[in-house]
Amino acid sequence: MPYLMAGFPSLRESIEIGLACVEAGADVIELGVPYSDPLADGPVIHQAATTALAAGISLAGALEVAGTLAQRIPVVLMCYANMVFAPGLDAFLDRLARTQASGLIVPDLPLEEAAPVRRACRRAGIALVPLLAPTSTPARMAQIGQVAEGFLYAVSVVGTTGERSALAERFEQIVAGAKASSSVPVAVGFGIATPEHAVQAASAGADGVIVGTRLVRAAAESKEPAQAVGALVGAMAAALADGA
Amino acid sequence: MCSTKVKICGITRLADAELAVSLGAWSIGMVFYRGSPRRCPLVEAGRISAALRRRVQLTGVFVNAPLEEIVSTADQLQLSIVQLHGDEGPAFCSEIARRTGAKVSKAIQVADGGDIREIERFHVDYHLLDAGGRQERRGARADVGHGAMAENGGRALRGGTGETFDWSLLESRRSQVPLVLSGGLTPENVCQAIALVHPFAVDAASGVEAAPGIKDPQRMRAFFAAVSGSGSTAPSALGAPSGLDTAPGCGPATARLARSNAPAVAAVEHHYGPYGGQFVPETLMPALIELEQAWVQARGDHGFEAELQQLLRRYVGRPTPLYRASRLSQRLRRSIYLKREDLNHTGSHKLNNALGQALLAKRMGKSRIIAETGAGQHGVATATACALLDLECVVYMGEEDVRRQQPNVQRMRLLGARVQEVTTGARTLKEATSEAIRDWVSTVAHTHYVIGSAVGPAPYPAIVRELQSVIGAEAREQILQAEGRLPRRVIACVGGGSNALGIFSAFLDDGEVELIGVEAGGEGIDTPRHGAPLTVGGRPGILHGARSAVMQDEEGQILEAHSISAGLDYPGTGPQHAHLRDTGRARYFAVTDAEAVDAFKLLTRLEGIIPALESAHALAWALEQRGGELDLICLSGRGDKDLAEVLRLG
Ligand SMILES: Cc1ncc(COP(=O)(O)O)c(C=O)c1O
Repeated sequence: MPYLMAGFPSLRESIEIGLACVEAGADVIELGVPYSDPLADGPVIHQAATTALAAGISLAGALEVAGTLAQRIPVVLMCYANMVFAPGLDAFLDRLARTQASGLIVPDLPLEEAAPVRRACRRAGIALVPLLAPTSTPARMAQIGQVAEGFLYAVSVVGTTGERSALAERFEQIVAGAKASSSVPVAVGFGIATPEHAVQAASAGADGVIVGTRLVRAAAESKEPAQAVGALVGAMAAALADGA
Repeated sequence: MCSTKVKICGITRLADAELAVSLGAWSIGMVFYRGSPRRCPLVEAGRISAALRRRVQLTGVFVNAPLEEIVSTADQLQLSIVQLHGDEGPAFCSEIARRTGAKVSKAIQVADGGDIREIERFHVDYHLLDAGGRQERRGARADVGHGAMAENGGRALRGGTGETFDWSLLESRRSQVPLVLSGGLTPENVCQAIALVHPFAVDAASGVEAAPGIKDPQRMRAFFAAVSGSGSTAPSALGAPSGLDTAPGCGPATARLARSNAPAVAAVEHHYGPYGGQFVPETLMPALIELEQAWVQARGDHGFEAELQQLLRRYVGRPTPLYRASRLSQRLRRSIYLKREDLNHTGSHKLNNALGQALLAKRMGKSRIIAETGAGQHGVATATACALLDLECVVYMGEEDVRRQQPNVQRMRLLGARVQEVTTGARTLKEATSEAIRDWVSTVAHTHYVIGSAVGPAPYPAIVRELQSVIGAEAREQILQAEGRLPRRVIACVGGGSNALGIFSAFLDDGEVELIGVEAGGEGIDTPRHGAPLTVGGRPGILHGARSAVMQDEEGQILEAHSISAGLDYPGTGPQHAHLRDTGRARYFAVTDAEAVDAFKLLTRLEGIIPALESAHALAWALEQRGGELDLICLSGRGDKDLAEVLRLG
């Protein structure tokens, strides 16, 4: 499950990157909405958001990307809480539903604040995907697992998004805990950067892996972002197919 | 008209109850404590309840009774009020309220001023203050509700000597919880009691008796007559405010605010009307829960409280003076008082909070502290607390603020803190805060984030407010001493809003005192370059974990703020301020950079006090006002750090 930032490096290129991911064998695309204050993101994704914002891409642009990609692949929007609430919950979700997107991830919306969003998502036919962290207590894991829709996003590290050279020590435990807490599929994200990580995650029992920073960095560094990202996604898909 | 209610307690017979109700009693009390000579048999209580519960507030009095017994008695008799007269703690009281649905009256026997403060810890529906000191309380409890009975056997009570407590102790009472005055009240002394104390209700038992548990109809009538004849006295600063003549008639918001005066006992509030909350990544949630638990425990622990108090006195230099700015007053033709938070160690109010949180972190076993800072004052305060308590310290500070607040950067480094420059966005306070939160997301296991203002996810706004409430508590007492009255206005600058909430908190219940928050008007609130989300208004937003007033565009992107004062250069503000604004309890205005600089210079020349540019905003607003005879301004910090910036502007 590749993550890409809508509008980065440009609106057109972010659509091309998404399509390249489809060709390379991605199953779901997680689409980041550029936000001014992304508290859960490390420097690479933060910088990509800043660049997109500077180019005038905000929610409208992100929804345009979502609408285009959703014709080819399930799209899950990753959007910070203030932007979800700003136009009013129902108005926001109505706009999102019209793009044919499948789900919504709000990284700064814990269980305590999620209920109204979850209800509005249900009304709009959008799955609200919750996050689960390595710091979550077993009781919280169970509660989060219970309300998960679409899939459960298991954050694999105590930290913001970013590449890590190795997966966290308690990684297997986290995946196992997530699996045990929910009947929906579990996707692991934050820190997954290589095909080896992906295979490791899959063999720990994850149903999906989310790769973000590595791909955003490739998009930032390459002259041919779509190709570069497509190649990385292809390598991971292949490794996962072999490993399976 | 403020008519004092009457409660007749120690009723054991339906006939007495009926007489009390026919005379206009607000409540009748039945004692269920086995050791009391006035114990009401349950059968009789049932008859009284059946006959009268729709016409009077039925109070059941318990002393250290088991929870289940109280709950079942309350259910059975459909009590409207449960009066707890023993050693029940705040948590027990809350549980009783929750389980019975009845109102809770916590009774305490007053020996000295400490008891008046003690009862403020109870966030219940009524505070009942009774006579009878500590010694009696430790000894066998011969009776309840009327402590003097223990000694006097009821004989001397009518004479009015020794059985009442020293009502002047109530001068220090600040709570808004309706006060029920008890202990030795008689038809003879009740007028004087009402005139002095202005209680919500007076409570008589032995004072209207013929024998223990048996009321004397003559004395009852005399008592009611005395109370209704005493309605014309002028309101005083003591006891319940005038106009509060129904049961705790304040709305939910005021009720919550009233609680803010006292330390947290039960859970800490998460919301202020529609504002507040916890909008953070899941990774941080367990840490916020842990923090709240640690805070609640610490506040209930006398050791923690004592250590903090001692540091505030001996290390910080509290209480800070309240100073009447005489030349300024002369010029404005009204009295202007300055609460001198600039005289705290490190030069601002920020140390009140940083020290409290650092102590808390230590208690939680965290070895590393992070903080954000704008003006550098909170950074310096945190670095200072960390030096004192031997904690590792990292301070996030925007590059722009590093430039304009150089002296503070150097101080932090000298104090052993690492200053982490933040280069994203506008390179000011908002970005520094975001970076601090990102650090915390990664290091939460061993790190405590000392937030510097009344912002952020719950429980931070409440913790910071309570640690800063010392400002208002002192100032209120000081101004009453100096002037014998409350100020007309209390004025403070608002960035995140911690010094403002700190000073406001003591005056929230004083309806006649205007609360004024002054935001950064920057280059003018008709331009985008300001830091005045409360003044400008608009849709609420979510920033740094809480919903509040926020500067944002239609799609919810947070806008950059601007202010000459680094500490007010922030697009958000504390959630409680947004609520105070909406409810009208506080009003908010903006003052421009230029006006603040003028005020900065004026105070320096007139009074020899160089204020922080932040505080100069509050001052500048006051300078523009005409009339009003007594203003209290929070001088939140000193301006040494701003010299270069002000001189640069010429
Ligand atoms: C002296 C002084 N006053 C006021 C403030 C603003 O903070 P708050 O609104 O939390 O009191 C600051 C912040 O840096 C400050 O240094």
